[in-house]
Amino acid sequence: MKGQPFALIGVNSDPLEKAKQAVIDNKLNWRSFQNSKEGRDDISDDWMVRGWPTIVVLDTEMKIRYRGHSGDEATKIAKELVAKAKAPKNK
Amino acid sequence: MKPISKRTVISASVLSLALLAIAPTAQEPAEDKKPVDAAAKVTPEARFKALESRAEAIYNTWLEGLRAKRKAGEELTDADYEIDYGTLLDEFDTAAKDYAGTDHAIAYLGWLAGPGMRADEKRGKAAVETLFTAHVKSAKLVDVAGMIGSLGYFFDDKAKAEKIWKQLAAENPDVTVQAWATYSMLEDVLKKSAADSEEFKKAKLTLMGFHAKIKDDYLKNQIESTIKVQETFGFGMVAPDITGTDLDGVDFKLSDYKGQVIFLDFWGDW
Repeated sequence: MKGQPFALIGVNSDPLEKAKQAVIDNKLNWRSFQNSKEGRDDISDDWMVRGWPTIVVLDTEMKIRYRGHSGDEATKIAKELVAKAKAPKNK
Repeated sequence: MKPISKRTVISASVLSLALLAIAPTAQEPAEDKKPVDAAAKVTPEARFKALESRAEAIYNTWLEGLRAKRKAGEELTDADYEIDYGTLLDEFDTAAKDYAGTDHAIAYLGWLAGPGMRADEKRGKAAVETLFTAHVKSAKLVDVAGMIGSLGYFFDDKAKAEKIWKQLAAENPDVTVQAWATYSMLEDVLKKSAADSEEFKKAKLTLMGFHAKIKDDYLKNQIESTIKVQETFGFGMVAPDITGTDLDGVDFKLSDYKGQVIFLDFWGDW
């Protein structure tokens, strides 16, 4: 999805070194937040994430369009949103 | 990455099944070890209790063996995780058939669908089927109400589960059974509609009505948290920003990507 109005962002719950290794091992090219950091609540707690993995899809206005555990369903919705974002605007 | 809950709970579905299978209820001493030969001489309750204690004794022995092996550092194979209930599965099955169609069958079917499931999945699923077709109108179904939310998973057929939920909600006399069925039906509505939509508000009202009437804490929590998550993170809500640090230690914000479609993945490699 390079060059598309699309961003894949992770929130990683592993210890930092382990997460970095996973990025190398799996050749991941997306950016991740560290879920836990001293001095603040876990991002997953703020977001009331109850099961892993959880996927949230946001539209261009940062409105939630999907939240759940199905990668397939999330991908389908994200693709539709990207197509919509690329479509010429009616003015 | 496996879709297994790391911290708390995924949902009622697979977990409740796993718990049923893993944790047998009371750990009573297995006094009655004699096989129960004829249904005629014992009450259905006593017959069930006898079978159940034998099953628990087998389970406990199996668990102790597993723990001992683990403690000794031995490598565990798939076979180590299998429990051999011997003739017990047949005996539960026979009893369920002896009492077929009556409330007495429910305990036996519940065992086959619960603890027995891991030993014989086919038979377990058949028991689920019987429970929720032949006993739809029985108040005794409350004993296995935790399975109601997982019917879609058991049948691998959402439409069939929905039909049964509808029946249970309308025809079962027990309020907890009705609540489980209604929650199962409305879960999708809650998860897929905006929190300010009429649909959502109506579903919330219905479920909070049940919430006030039932004693099942697990279901009460499910109802509360599903509604709360939805009102904060539901369809159409503006996501809160995240200010954080990436794996290289560089600070960034989720809103840096505003204007693009964002696929936010809570992941881990475990």
